[in-house]
Amino acid sequence: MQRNLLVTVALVAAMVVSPSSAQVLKLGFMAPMSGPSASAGQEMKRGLDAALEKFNNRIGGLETRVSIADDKGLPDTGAQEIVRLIERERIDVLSGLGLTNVMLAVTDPAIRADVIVLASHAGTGSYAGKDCHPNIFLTGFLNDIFGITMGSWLTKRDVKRLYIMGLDFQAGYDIFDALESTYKGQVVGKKLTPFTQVDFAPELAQVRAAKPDGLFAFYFGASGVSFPKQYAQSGLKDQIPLYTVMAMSNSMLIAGQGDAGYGMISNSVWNAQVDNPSNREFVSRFRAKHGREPTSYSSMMYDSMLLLDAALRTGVDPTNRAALKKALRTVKFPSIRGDVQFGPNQVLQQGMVIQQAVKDSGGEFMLKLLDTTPAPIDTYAKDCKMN
Amino acid sequence: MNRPERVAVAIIVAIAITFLIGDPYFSRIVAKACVFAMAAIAVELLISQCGLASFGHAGFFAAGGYTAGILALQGITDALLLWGAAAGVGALAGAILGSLCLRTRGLYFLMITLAFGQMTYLGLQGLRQYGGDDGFRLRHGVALPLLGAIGTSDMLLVSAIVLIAIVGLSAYLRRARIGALVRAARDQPRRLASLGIDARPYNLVMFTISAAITALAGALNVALVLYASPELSSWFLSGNLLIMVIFGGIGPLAGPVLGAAAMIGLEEVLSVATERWPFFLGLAVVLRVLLGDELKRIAALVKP
Amino acid sequence: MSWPLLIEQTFNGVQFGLVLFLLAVGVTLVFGVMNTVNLAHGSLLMTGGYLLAEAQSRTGSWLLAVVVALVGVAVLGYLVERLVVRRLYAKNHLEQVLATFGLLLCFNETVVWIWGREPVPVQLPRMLGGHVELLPEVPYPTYRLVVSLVVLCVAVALWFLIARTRIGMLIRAGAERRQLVEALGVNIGLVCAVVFALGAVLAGLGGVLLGPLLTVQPGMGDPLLILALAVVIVGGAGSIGGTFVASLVLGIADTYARTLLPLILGGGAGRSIAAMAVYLLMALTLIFKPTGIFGRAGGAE
Repeated sequence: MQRNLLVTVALVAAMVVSPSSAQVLKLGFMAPMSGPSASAGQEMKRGLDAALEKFNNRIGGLETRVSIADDKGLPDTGAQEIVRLIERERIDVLSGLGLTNVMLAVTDPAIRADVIVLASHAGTGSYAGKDCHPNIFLTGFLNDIFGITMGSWLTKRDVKRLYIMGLDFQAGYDIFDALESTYKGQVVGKKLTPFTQVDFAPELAQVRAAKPDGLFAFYFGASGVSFPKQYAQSGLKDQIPLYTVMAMSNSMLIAGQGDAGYGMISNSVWNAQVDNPSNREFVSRFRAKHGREPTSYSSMMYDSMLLLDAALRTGVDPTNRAALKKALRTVKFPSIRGDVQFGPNQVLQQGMVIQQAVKDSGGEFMLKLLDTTPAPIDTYAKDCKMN
Repeated sequence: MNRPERVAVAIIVAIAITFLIGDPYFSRIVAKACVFAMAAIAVELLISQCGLASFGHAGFFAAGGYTAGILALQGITDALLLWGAAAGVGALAGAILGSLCLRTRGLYFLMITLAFGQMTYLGLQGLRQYGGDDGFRLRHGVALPLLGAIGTSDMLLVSAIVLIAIVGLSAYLRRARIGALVRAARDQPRRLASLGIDARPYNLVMFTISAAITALAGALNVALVLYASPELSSWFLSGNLLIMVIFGGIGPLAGPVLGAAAMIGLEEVLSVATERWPFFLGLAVVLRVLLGDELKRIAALVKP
Repeated sequence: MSWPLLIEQTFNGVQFGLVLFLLAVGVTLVFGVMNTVNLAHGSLLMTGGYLLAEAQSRTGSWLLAVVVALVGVAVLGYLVERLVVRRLYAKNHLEQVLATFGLLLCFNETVVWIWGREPVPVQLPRMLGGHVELLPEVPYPTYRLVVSLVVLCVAVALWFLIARTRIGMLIRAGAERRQLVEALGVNIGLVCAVVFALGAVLAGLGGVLLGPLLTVQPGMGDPLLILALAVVIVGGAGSIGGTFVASLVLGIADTYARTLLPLILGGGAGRSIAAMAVYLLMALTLIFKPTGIFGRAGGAE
């Protein structure tokens, strides 16, 4: 409600102040706002709201009309909502997209309508390779970079015997396959569990029996809380270091994880301590409003809006898709991640950080920056034939 | 509304109004309602004629969807072939599972269909080559012979036509001898047995037909959405089908059609109004069940 | 598969089975006495977990929070029975399933309304946070042992209640010959309310015990409910002893299936079949002996 009022005021003000700026940006935002993945979608919206606040609802200097679509975490609903966004709301740009299966269901209709897709969270290798398209920009990350960088880092850290656990689904396979491709030590065990499994005692018993030097685990959501808790309770936490990805170690899950959430080492595309003006501004604004650090959901969403803003400030009209696409591809924008740029397949190339969950001087949750890794080579780019 | 002609006319009128409104989003929702109405009819048939409530019909919905989807991935676009295959797979699955499930009745039947629906869900999740948990998308729509490729707006017409056909089938089964037989078996099993008639093969036939209809609906759904995922087999969807049936009323021919329209309409309206829409949907279901008898009494008073 | 591993897995299976029992026994009691299916039973478990988390965060005492949670769930169970479930006794099973399904949706959203979608923290009491050496080389979390012991005590107390007390006799009589009990002047309505509240408290206890182990979040009880239904079917609807045996069997079977089948059958197929194991058992029971291990005939027509 408040935003509608602001938009109206901005519209009136724009008409009064600069009669020539009649251009409007129609931005679509699709994410799981209800349903099992709702916490991700709601967090992404917080990132969007932070960006709208920063730019005073004028991304790229243009009056911005946002259409929010709740895909409920289901491809069916996403496919339905994209019709509404395209036909009724006539969006120029589709942003958000928290889940890969929803993204798969909505990109074809979006491309047919010449809508530009800025996926800030979802993204599978196919979009970076054979399914790439000039309308699709992956500003978030591909899953396999987590595996690639963690595998190399664990090798460097001389972890000789590794046990792998995680969720049994496509994103998990991407990460584990990538991990095993760069990890040069010995994988002594691998256990994938279904989404519905909440009790990991049997699997943890097998981890104990295998006696690895480290455990790499990929869980998020509900299991992202219960797995670390049970890991700590079983006594394994003190014996075998736990390595994971940002989805399992962030400021949203730590409340549920409690003490069990500290000590984990994870890798991420972004960290609150990365030192640049954009990031400092974003983190302090977010902290002031929500009382905690942002997570990758909100930060990636915010960053995609920084990109869009920079592209639009070059003076392009959002209805001129070709010009907007070119601007998005080439513009230099002040990313909160520091120095990033698009590869030829319109996937953002970025280094990663290694971080550890610790308590800061005030006893609050903090992800301490341990190390940075260079951008991994994009193995999909060669399959992308963008005309 | 019990005459198939009247139901067909009502559907045609609804479709005509949708076309006149001309809003693609609204058209799409109506198409979705048509598809789910088909599945609801299938579920309702089993309840009203055979006295069997299935909590696992989403399994057939998914089986039909995956059959059509997987064939489409191989490059087949002929709708008749895709949907015929889906219905065929549904019938086969219905025959096999039916022979197992029909050994039970009442609550046990409800539970065993739930179990099989869940097993289908888990099995589909394990299909890694078809996206596993994520499912897979279709890059092209289907095509009808002579008419060529079907776009989304055409799907509305096609779904409505198939729905009308299914309504006709439902009416036929009710009038036919098999309908009388299974209803007799439902109401007076001992009498029927004393006449020397074994109702089981007839129940199996009804179950098989019901499964085939649901699978066909699943195939149409995939053609509409261009996406197939294991969620299509979740017990949640089975529950939704039952909710549609109970919203519309068990017995009248138009019941499942009205129920599907009501439930999907309600979901749409609620989703726009609030993110808490599942609460109000749940409340609507509870009230519908608790007040069902009262509503019937009021309806009987109002009817001329 | 070494001996220490086998022992640890067996303990895991037993512990899992015992918690399932807490949930399943409520379902089987309500079914046995009132011939009613309640899909919202998992929501009562969830409520137990949430009340525990909330009380603990406000008072700082786990023990006090447990008491508050159990009392709260008992009250909620009584209200649910009075307002909704009572009206379902006379209705058919399909309507019961749908109405309680609707309740489930309402409960889940209410919880989101109050506490949001993110999991809420539940802390283990310090003294229960360590391990016990079952055998040398087999450390087992103390808390899990405590959970198992608590459930065993509850099971014994429940047996005593049902088999040896007057109210237990009324419950058994109500399950076997409801109209007769009514005709003898017993307030069957009160018996039903007590049975439902008892089931609710047990489910709530399940939530309280599981809270520190799992994640307290919306819908946490629903996957467990499906498993509990399988237990009730396999054990025989209405039979507490059958439910107890079936809980242990399914708990151990599920644990072994999850760990052994992928080894025997290889990754993907093994995992799929392992997940289906419980449903397979459920279906097999329904096909070959629908009344379950200890069930009574003609209970679910």
